[in-house]
Amino acid sequence: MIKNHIKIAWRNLIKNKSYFFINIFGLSLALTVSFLMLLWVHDEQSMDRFHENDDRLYLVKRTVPLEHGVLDVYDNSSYPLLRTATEQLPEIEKYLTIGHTFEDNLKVDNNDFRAAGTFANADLFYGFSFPVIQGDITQLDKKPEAIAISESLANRIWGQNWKSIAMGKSIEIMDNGDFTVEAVYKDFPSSSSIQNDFYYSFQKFLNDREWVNEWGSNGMQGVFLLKEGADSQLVSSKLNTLFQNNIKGENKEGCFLQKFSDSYLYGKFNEQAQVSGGRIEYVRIFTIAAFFLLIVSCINFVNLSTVYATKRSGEIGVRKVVGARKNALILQFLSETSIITSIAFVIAFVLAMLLLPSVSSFVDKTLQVDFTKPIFWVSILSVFICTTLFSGAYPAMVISSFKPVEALKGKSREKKSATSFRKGLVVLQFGLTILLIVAAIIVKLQVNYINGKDLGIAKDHIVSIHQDENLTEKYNALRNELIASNGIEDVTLVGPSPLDVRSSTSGVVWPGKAVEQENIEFSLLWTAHNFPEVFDVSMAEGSYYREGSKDTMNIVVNQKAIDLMGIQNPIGKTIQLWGKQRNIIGVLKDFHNRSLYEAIQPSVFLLDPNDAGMMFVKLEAKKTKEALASLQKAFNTVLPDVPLHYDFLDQSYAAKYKSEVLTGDLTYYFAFISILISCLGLFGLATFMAKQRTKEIGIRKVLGASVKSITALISKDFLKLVSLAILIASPLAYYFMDSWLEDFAYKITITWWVFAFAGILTVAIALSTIGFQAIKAALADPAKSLRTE
Amino acid sequence: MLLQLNNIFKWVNSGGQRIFLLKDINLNVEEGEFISIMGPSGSGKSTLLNVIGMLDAFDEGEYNFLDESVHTLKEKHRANLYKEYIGFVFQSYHLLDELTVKENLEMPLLYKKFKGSERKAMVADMLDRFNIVGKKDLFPAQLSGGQQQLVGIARALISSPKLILADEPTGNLNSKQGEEIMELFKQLNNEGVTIIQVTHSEKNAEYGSRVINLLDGRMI
Ligand SMILES: Nc1ncnc2c1ncn2[C@@H]1O[C@H](COP(=O)(O)OP(=O)(O)O)[C@@H](O)[C@H]1O
Ligand SMILES: [Mg+2]
Repeated sequence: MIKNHIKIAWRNLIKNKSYFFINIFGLSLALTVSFLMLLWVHDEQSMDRFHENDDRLYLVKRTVPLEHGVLDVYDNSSYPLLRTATEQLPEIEKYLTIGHTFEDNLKVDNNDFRAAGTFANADLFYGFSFPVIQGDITQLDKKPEAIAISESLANRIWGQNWKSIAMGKSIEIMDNGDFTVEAVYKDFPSSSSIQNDFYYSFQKFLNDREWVNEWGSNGMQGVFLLKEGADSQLVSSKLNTLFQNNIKGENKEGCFLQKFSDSYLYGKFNEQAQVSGGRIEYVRIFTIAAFFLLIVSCINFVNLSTVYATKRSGEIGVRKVVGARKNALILQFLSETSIITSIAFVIAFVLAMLLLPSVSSFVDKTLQVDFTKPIFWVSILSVFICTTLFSGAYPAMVISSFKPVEALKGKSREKKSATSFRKGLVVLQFGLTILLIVAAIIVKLQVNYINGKDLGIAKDHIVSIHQDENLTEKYNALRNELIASNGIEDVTLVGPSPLDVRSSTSGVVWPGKAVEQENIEFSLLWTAHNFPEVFDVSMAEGSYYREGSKDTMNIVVNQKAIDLMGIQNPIGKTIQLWGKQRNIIGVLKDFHNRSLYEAIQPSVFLLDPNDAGMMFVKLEAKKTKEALASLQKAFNTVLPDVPLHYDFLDQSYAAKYKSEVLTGDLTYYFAFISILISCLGLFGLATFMAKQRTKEIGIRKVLGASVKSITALISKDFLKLVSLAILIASPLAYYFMDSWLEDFAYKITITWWVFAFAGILTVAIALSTIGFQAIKAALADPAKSLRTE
Repeated sequence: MLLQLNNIFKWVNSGGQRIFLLKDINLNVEEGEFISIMGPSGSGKSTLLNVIGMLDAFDEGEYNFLDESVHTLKEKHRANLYKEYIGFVFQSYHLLDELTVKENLEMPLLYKKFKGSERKAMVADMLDRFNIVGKKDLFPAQLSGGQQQLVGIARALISSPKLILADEPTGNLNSKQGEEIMELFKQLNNEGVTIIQVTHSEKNAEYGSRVINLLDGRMI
């Protein structure tokens, strides 16, 4: 029976090429996209979940109470807390250090290697599933000069035979000292959010930083491995109590545990410190978009098959007359559908495999298909079954319920309800498409807005270079050399990057500061005197520091800070920083010192170039090439031992909005594919309608109807549906995009023309699709079309 | 008695008016009869045939087929009944274009519980009997009208029905081809198959044992 169905389906397929082409093409396109999307989603969701102890690993989070009971959530907490908790709470088995990864220069036998790494204790390798290949990882806890490196770094340094060379070799980390290789670990899988080429001893880190041992300092991140069966809620509250018992102040900070593997996707917290989203939002958005595409292509299928069914009503009549039951017919049409879906699946699979590398680099991941995992086959099978049923069930029901006598006469008309159903589907299809188009436009506008927004600070033609001891020592010589050379305007020292100020302090006290303002954080920037000139920031009042190496008497703040403190005529007034009186000598105009997700922070600017941490070089516009050559030359002469690494500030800034740009681009593709598939469906329907109405058109023409009026006649019905779709989809699109924009502190306002544009675009594309068929029908020779009847 | 129609009425409602398609039809058919239904176009011949074939419902009256009262049967049982006992032959053959001759013959068997080997044997038997073995792999479009109707009849016969209903089986054929089909019917009738045919031709009607005349849905 099935064999027979397949045979017939195949012959039908050959016979009705365009109909099947539309179905298969649309479906495979949608499936390809969904398939790739599912891979991405799966990859996102399996992030960090490979650790054997996954269900026992918890990240320590810190809450900071601000005004009005609002809580801020941070990843870093106090080292004494982490240490004491590990000692005192019986539920905690191990404390795993999480250091801030930084890029640095490693020197091995006079060769430089750029690598990213941080410090670690040996328990990191014990708690996480990070296997050690060679050596004794516990040396990290025993010797401050121990370092463990990844297999690939070992490979880079000593080549393939590193195994017989690496152990005991000396590595110098610039600015951090000499280390001895004690262990080599396997590269972390790409599904790990932690990626480090090297780990040096945590003891060394502690030895260099006394302040870490203060309860009030928040310099450490930590993950706890809980004992088997421990109640994480309970540990969380014990931890909080322990923390609050040991810190001073009225408005105390707190802490809680978040499952480590959840922290990747759920990184955003609301004002009550409850999870409110994070990357999971993108996972959801794209799952929904992929789902939309599948629906859109299934709708083509449903519509075309029901319409096309009338063509086959004779066949159905015959089958019924010779004894086919309804079920047998349903089965037949479902197997035909499943053949089409199978073909589409195969095409989609091949296409997806071909596109996988480029998609991987596009989303900045190594996506891969694991054929050995049952989940892969289960998802494929369920998508297959859903697609087949969704596309095939309704047409099969309609077709199989034709009455045999009428079917034989070829008179089987669809019921009125069936026609309305189809119209409803077309509206749904175009509604979804318009939703995607509007989303694509708005995301793009927002991304452009962010990139083009006047931040109040310059970011173009500036490169940043990490400052180290050597550089600080020779800074003046280097600066003089640079300013004198071709293409370079100015040089300054600032830290951290003024476009992403993550350092802050709650140690600002002003007259009238309220208790509940105790924890208000001021952004903190260490600068040289020429910071405002290099970054084009102007003074609102007063003046910036004069040249010098440190100024602890005076202070410069921004307008936000003045507003917050409520100081009238600020110049000359005194405030306290870290318990010391300082005179306000200047107020800088506000500039965006964080991402546009966040509001401008009240800020304090210090004159302390040696502690700044970064050197910024301003290049002359349009002289980038010469400037970079000058930069290299200056380094060669002044700092021959320091390799030059620089980043363009505008690029680092753009990198912050990578997911927005990615979302924008992806939504574009989705919208494009969606409209393509929808129009394919429309094309199919219009072709069929035109054919069905050949006689009517012939008669109308004989009676004198113009080509124009006939074209309008055919197009009108479809245009009505598309217009209805626009009307329904626009408010929905507005709602969704408005809530997407809510996350941004600075955002575009959605204007009506976005919808008008999306609408006109859709109508135009739909019209040209239908119009082609309509005009073809209208131009046909009436004598011919009448004769065929 | 093969079947019995008592006071059958069939109508449609149009603009608040009842239009009768069949009016007070009374008909007894014995096994082995060969009946021809005649009448002008639009007189209800096809409608009557469809009612007998249970493809179409009627509004009033009784219909007994082999001691089953068709009018009280549920749709599903009725379908089972005609599938088992009735074969249909059409004026326009109604072969499936996508299927070869062999496959067209096999198709009705697929909907009944026959094994693959049984089906093969039955199809081979039919091809033999109708002398169309050489055409088994051709598609309908590659056959002449007469040959197509031959296949149509073979398909109707393949599941050994007691009754063949033929609606103008020669309507699309030339007279020589028509004659051959009629000879075939005659022969089948001699072998015991009951036949009811609709025809416009007096000559074809003469092959049968009895003629029923219809006018405006009424037997005269
Ligand atoms: N379902 C129906 N609804 C309305 N009128 C019908 C229907 N079926 C048949 N008729 C009408 O009933 C009459 C008899 O039709 P039919 O049995 O096909 O005639 P014949 O086969 O004798 O030419 C015709 O006038 C036809 O138009
Ligand atoms: Mg008729």
